[in-house]
Amino acid sequence: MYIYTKPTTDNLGQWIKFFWQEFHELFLDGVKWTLVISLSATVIGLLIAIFITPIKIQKITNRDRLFVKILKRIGIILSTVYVEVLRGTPMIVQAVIIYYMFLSGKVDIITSGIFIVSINTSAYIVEVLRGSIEAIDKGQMEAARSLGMTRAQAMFHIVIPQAIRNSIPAIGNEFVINIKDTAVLNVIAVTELFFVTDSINGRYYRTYEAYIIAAILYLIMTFVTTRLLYLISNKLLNGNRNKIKISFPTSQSY
Amino acid sequence: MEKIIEIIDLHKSFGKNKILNGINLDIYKGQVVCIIGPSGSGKSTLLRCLNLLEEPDQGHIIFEGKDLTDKTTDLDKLRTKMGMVFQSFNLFNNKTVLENCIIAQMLVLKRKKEEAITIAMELLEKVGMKDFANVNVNSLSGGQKQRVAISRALAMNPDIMLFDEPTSALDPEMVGDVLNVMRDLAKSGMTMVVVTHEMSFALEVSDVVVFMDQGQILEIGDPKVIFNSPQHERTREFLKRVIEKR
Repeated sequence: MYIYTKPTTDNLGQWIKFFWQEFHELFLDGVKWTLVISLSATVIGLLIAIFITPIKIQKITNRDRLFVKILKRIGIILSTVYVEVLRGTPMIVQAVIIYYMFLSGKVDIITSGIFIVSINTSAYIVEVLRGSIEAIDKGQMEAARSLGMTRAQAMFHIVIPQAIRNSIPAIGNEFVINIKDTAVLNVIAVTELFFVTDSINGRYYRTYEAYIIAAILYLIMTFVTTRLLYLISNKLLNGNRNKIKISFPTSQSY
Repeated sequence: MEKIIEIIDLHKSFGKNKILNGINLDIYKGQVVCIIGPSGSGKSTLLRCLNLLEEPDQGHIIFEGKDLTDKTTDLDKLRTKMGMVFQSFNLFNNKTVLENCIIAQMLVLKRKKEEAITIAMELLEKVGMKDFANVNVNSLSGGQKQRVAISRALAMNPDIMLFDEPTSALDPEMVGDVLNVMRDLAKSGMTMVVVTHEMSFALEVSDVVVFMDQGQILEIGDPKVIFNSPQHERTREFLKRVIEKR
């Protein structure tokens, strides 16, 4: 049944060797889904955040009509609740509730995983963008308004493009975090790396041996991604002589 | 002469700080009005109230017959008629020089791109920045930025230009370039309100000088009269100190 011999002792090296020889295709499949889910969820999360952030930070002025004031207030409340709930509960809990309450049986498991990580990430990116928007010099908005632009025009043409550019390192960081955090999707049986590892480990009643392989694979993914993001953001941010110094990367803050 | 702006009993506070304390001022078409006074006297706040970047607490600003403080007034539309130049330039950092000068033309005035470019290039040539049209604004010097900022405001065909200490953030060598542009603009008949510390510019170019202190207009009149024989003790003291500094 097996091509490779199962170790007869508890020797760690032998078990790792055996697992890799026997199941490397399964492991790599797990790596693939981990990357697919975390990358697409980061991109979708960013898009959702670009839509939600302006709603959350809009200002009610006393020049607004009553109807507009009420609409704005509702928008602010809903977007704040969205961000608070998603940031204030563990993704593993969100995964179980969202999947079994809404998605199970209707949407395939990978799409469900992408959906869950996307909305979770979007809440974090909303806060990243909000910070970046607030950090943009107020003069940019004032200049735009003094030229007759509406607040929305100034936001979308002047402020948000600059804020996104400045957020690239933080958004990249969300991607790196997602590579690791997709592991929680194993509770709803998404076949990402953690789930695959767990099933292989369990099949031989081992406690941790397969996880050594998983750890190495996670580390390779985050290490390579971190360096790639570092190169990309350096190029994007310093492309136009607008020097933003980025220190040497580590997996949490590249 | 035709009144372009009428400021009636304007009050503005930031928290407990009273910045403007009952300002009344009429500005006529074609006039160059320089506002001078010590720091914290409310000059910049007054200027920023004129296009409602700061909302006054009390009082009225009538611009071309429309009350800007009336909540139903279409502010965005009227702001296009009032060009503003800032101390810190505030060029759009994500745009090139040319893009800075055309974006509001296209978004607000709905001009076609080619038309906007033609207008922008003409203005950039006037201020000597035509060769920098496709340059990123972050690579410009302060004086260059300010000249682009003036072109950007002029591209909207404003009826009045507001200058908020336009040369205060510049290297001394750059000040002359910007003042020359403003001088030409004044000669072309543009109505201008200039908050400035450049006393010689105020003396030379302005039709009216306004001296402010502690949120009030203390003295207003012909620049020669104000500079040579100020009526108010506070004005005399201020001018003496400013001139001594040189």
